[in-house]
Amino acid sequence: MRRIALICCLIIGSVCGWFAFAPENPYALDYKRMTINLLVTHTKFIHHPLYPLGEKYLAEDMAVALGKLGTDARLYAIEDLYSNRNFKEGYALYLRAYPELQLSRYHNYIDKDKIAVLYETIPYKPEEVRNADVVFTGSLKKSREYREAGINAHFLPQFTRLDKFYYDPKPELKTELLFIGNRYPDSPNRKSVEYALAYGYKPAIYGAGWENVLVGENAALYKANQIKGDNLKYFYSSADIVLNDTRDDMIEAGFISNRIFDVTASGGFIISDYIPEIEEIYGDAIPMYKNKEEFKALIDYYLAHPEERREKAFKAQKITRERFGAESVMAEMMRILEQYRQEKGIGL
Amino acid sequence: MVKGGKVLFWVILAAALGFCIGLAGRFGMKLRDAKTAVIRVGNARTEVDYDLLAALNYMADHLEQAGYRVLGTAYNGEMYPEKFNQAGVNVFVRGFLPLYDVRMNDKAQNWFYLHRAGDFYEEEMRGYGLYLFSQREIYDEVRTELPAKLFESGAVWHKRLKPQYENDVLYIYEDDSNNFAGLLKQNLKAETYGAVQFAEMTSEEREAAFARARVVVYKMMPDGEDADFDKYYVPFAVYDIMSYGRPLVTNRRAGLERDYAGKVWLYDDSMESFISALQAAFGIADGQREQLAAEAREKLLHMAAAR
Repeated sequence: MRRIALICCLIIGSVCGWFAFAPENPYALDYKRMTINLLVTHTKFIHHPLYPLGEKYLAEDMAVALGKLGTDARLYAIEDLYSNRNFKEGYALYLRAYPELQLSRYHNYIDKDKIAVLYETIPYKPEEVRNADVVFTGSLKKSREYREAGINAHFLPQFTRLDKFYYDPKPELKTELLFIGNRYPDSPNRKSVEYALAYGYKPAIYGAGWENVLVGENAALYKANQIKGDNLKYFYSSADIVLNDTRDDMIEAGFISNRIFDVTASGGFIISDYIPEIEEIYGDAIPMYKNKEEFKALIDYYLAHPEERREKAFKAQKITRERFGAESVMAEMMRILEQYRQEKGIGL
Repeated sequence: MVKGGKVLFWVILAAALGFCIGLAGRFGMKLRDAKTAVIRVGNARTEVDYDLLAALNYMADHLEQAGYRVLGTAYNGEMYPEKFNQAGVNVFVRGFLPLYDVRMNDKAQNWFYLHRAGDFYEEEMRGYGLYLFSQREIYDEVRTELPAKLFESGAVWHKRLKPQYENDVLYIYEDDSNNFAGLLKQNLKAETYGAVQFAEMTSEEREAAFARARVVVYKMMPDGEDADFDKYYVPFAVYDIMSYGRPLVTNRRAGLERDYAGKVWLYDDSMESFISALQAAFGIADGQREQLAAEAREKLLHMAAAR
């Protein structure tokens, strides 16, 4: 009897010893980690001041918000896709900016256990979204179209970081009209700048691509190529009116410019070109113009009525803070992704 | 009290002894695992053709000879099956397109094998312990900067096949843009396969096809800017055929000409040259042709053994 008990102890000890240092699965993907792939640029340009990219700022903000929610998200550029970086991230999220870059090619070859996520912030081509496991789109209209086409798509509005964009005006930055945005060769027309110049207004203009366009008497309007993302709030909240316009393809597809959320979160007053989706969300808190004449009328009116500006800016800020904070939007994204993972039994 | 303490002592001793045995067993497993290897083919390589198949077999054979037990090949979207988790060596095979799906094991050795790809990105060449190249030109380019080795074509030892003639030709092609298949079928009794189709057959089916043919023709991709190999590269498939001892007609390559002149029939990139090589192969008696193929096989296997 005693001998049997000792043999049992020996066996139990052996089993404990065997499993005490059992190796973990060295190839397991971690679904608390995400790569945010900016298929827009190369690593050497990603932080280069000559290439200010809205998507980069958006991606950085996403990473911070996701970090607060417990997901470790990191930004990568084009060459990281094929550079054997030994990714063990469970989620691969892709963003792009320019129309010439295609995502479908990469999707086909990525790890099958990895969940490929697209975040559409400008209109993508149907063949791009078809291959992704989960598509998030900033357009309610497109999310409906995709779902009708059998694509696993979800509406996910663009967002702003409330810890980065808040009301903090600086007297030295006070200006009547402010425009911050790039002028790219593929979309050279920025309505708000064009209209403002046509009526002789003098907006302060920041962004890439303006230095060679604003010449002669307008040369002084160009202020800088880029404003650091952390400093944008000072500019937005110090201006009397911030101008917004949207690319035609974005309007057509129903995308709201991220500028709307950043400016309103900063307590800035913004006048935008007309987009029904903005009206649906903000009502009359964001005045909008449909043509040059309406633009002039709005500028003249609101320059002369500072109280109404403050009232509308406050109203818009409240809406943004309630509905478009990065953390709540990212939490919704992670909820949908986790639900997808559970349904498909991936990595369980 | 003393008796109780004594029992407790023996229980603890037995459990501790068991624990040590368990640990030692695990340690022994770890040592054993260090000498195991797995070949992982990237998902971007959607097809395995005869050349890649022959290359992987040759690599597995090399690893075995170096003392590794090859657990298998992970492929077709299943790059990381659990059964290969403890492999001590991972060989990541990249062919044609970059690996978009690498998951290395920091506690194992991770090797990179660039199979027959003419181009690569500089950024791909990082993070691995060893880099293997099938292309001499690429190897020469990087050998001073990386722990690199040339993995030149060769073949595993196959049993010499006894001919059982039913066909004149077995034609295997990587590319048949100039329709050699049509030409062969029109003029001879020919069996034809694309290189991927041939790789999909079982080894028994392949061997039977080899044995049925008087001559095996292996047609490589044409040279040129789009070619995925350099002038030194001889497909592993070519040597695989030779290892079976079958008479071979194939594209002219410097290495083949140097080592096997007169024992295999080589042609240049023209229809005339191809026909002329075939005529030369069929211009001798069956027995003499088989003898030359046997000599080529002998030389190949001796050279492989000497490597």
